[in-house]
Amino acid sequence: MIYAFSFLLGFCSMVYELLLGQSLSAFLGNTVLRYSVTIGLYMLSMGIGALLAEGRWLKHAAATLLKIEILLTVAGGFSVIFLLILNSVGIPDWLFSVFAHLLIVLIGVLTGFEIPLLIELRGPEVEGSERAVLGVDYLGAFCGTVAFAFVFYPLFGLIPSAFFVALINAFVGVCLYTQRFKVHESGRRSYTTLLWVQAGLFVVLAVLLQNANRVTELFLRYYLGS
Amino acid sequence: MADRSGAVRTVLAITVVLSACSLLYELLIAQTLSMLAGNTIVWYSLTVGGYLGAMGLGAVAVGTRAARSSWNTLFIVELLLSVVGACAVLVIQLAHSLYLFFSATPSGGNVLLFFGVSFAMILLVGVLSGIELPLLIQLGNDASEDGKITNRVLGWDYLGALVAGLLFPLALVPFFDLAVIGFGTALVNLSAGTYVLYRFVPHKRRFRLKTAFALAFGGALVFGISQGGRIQQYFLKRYYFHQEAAALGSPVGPLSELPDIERFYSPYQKIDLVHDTSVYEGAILTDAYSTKYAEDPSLPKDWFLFLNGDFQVTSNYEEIYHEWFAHVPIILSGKVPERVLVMGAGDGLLLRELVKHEAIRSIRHVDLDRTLVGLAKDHPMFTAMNRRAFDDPRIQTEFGDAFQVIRRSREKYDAIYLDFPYVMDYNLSKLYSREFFHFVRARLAEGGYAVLDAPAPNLRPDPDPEGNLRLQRGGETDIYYNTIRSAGFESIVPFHTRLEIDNPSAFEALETWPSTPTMEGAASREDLRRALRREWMRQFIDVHASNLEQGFILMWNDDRDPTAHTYVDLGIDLHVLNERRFGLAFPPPFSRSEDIDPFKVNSILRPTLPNRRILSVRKPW
Repeated sequence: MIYAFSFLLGFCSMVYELLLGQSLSAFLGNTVLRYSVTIGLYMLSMGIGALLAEGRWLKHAAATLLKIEILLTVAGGFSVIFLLILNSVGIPDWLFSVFAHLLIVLIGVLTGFEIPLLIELRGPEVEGSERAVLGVDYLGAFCGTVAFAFVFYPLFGLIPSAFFVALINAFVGVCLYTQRFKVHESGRRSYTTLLWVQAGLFVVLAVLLQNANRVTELFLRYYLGS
Repeated sequence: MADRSGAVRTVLAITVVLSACSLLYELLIAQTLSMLAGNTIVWYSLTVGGYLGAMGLGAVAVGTRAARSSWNTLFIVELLLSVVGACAVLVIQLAHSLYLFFSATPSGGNVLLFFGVSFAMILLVGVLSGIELPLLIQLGNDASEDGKITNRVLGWDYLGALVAGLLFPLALVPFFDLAVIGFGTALVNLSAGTYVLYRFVPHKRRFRLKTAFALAFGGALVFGISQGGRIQQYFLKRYYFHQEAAALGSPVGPLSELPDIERFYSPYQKIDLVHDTSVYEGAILTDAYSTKYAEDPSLPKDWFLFLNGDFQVTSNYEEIYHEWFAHVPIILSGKVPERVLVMGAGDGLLLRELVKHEAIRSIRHVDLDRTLVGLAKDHPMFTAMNRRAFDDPRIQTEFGDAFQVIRRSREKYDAIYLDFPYVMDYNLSKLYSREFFHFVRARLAEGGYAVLDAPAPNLRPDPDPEGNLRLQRGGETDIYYNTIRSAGFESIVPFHTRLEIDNPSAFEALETWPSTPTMEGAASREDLRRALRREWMRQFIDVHASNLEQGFILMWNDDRDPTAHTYVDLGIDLHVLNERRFGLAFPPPFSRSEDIDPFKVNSILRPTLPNRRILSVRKPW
């Protein structure tokens, strides 16, 4: 089950990053630069995330992972709309670019954070779990790129894709509940609250996805009017 | 190991270098494929995904053999990686040129073979890189005090990826040929490997062999870099002259008897000037339609401009395209615009036509690429063609991204000309998007028009009993219509360049054509022979006219009668356009659905252009 999570999370994060890279390229131009930088930054911030995830965080692995999923769902699912609005309100390009790259780094760091947590939940003593979790995460990322290039961008469009992927992300978060991970006595109540938040996000995203075309039209009008 | 912290530092330093090299190889493959098979985004996504996936595989695969990791293994992997990485671009380019060669012969090319080879290169580099990382972690752990170095190695590995991600688009692609970048990267990679060999690998069996091999390959790479220009010419010729190559029956020859291709680099595109003198059969008809060579025989002939490998313009017929583009909208509008905005058109040929109108007061010209405009101002071939139009004081050229410029602009224009390359990837798709046309419409003064070049409408008879014509489904024309209408334009008029067939001079020119069709048996019947010959000529001219057909879309903000086409003599010098050809410029009226189909609208958020198979191979023609 942990491997399935790792695969799906690798998938989601890669698609978020590509959606951000493509948004940058759509609003500011120069595809090759945007993609190269997005991918480089993504990998670097994943590394930073992996370095940050230790000690205290690992002790509350289940709760931390859930928090991260909530953050990723929000940051990834609303990223394109956020950038579209930012670009519409007429902030200077460099500031827009800063925000977009911060989002790329944020998602990268959170994703890098996930992997040690997943390894912890799998049980680091299990032979080869480190490599397997990492490998499956990368395979998920590969599938994410294929899905982005052939399905998400040309068929769904940027905004519905972001909703759809965040929906998968929220689903994984909710599924954590089924795993009955050990949660410290002190953190149990907040863990339940987090689960409800994640479930709420799932519903919100499902509704948004249902009305994705209308939502897109709404924000696009705003952009065109600016 | 005597020097432990030194070994750790070496591991980390090597990690940065190697991860940068690996990602550079992958980016090189991605860029090569975007040039040869179009669609940058698809290839970048797939290459990076394939890289990550293969790295995952490599990491999982090595997992069970961690015990065997040693400096020696690392050296071998580096050697292999630098060989594969240096050859990747060459192999893919060779596969592409072979594909082109065979596609021009009766046996036909195999697309799957080309893509198979390309993917194999992506995966090979990925798997080798995937083996490398666990090795480095293992070596780092062996060398360090606490044996916990995994995260630091990973961190430096990711830093290397960022370095590559920045270097590649900013410092390498705009200045060097891809094959040369590959050689340079392999040289760095090989140096790191050789350093490992000298410093850490026990000088035992086969040490000399390994050293000799590394040195020899390093020498080969330096030689390859020094021969960069020749390698580039080889592949450029194999690309642009693939039909000649097929006619010569030369699958891999260097085609040195054909003229070199002039290539210019810019941060945005590769600009190629091809001088192809192999006579196109239709060339015999040039003078029958255009007066330009009769007026000035010194005008350039047989030159072709390509941007990123896509055909843009030829010296032989460009005036047909540009006369229609510039003047038909003015004739239909009934008056010459005063304030004109021209976007794209860096070759200056459209500007040459526009400055013929004295009533135009100002022309704001926006192009992305200083290099191209610089060529158009200085290169003798261009200046002969555009007659130094840029010297006209009414033209103000500025450089920028058309999308950003039109979005930020607050001025109004009586006419906006959009002369961009055809949509070959998502980068260009932006300039044909609903959002872009929306901003264009907002910049038009009352009664102003915008015009762009676009595929001619492909019509088919409607199934209804009156046999009306309607737009063919599935073609790009349908996407253009829905996109432009969703941007709010009231009137849309397509027109195209169409030359008449019953042109006496064309028939006269063909009289001297050597390859008379011999009708054996019928040859004795003189009248039959002449009728057959005349029919052959008619067909020949028809094919020629179809080859030169080019579509445009003209749009107004206000409601106009789309069927009112009255010719007005503009009182300027024209080489091809006349009243008769103006009459041929409009497709028959056709019916189309009033509702906008949202799935056909091209948007920056969801591109529907380019509308072609994602796995298709680029050809010059």
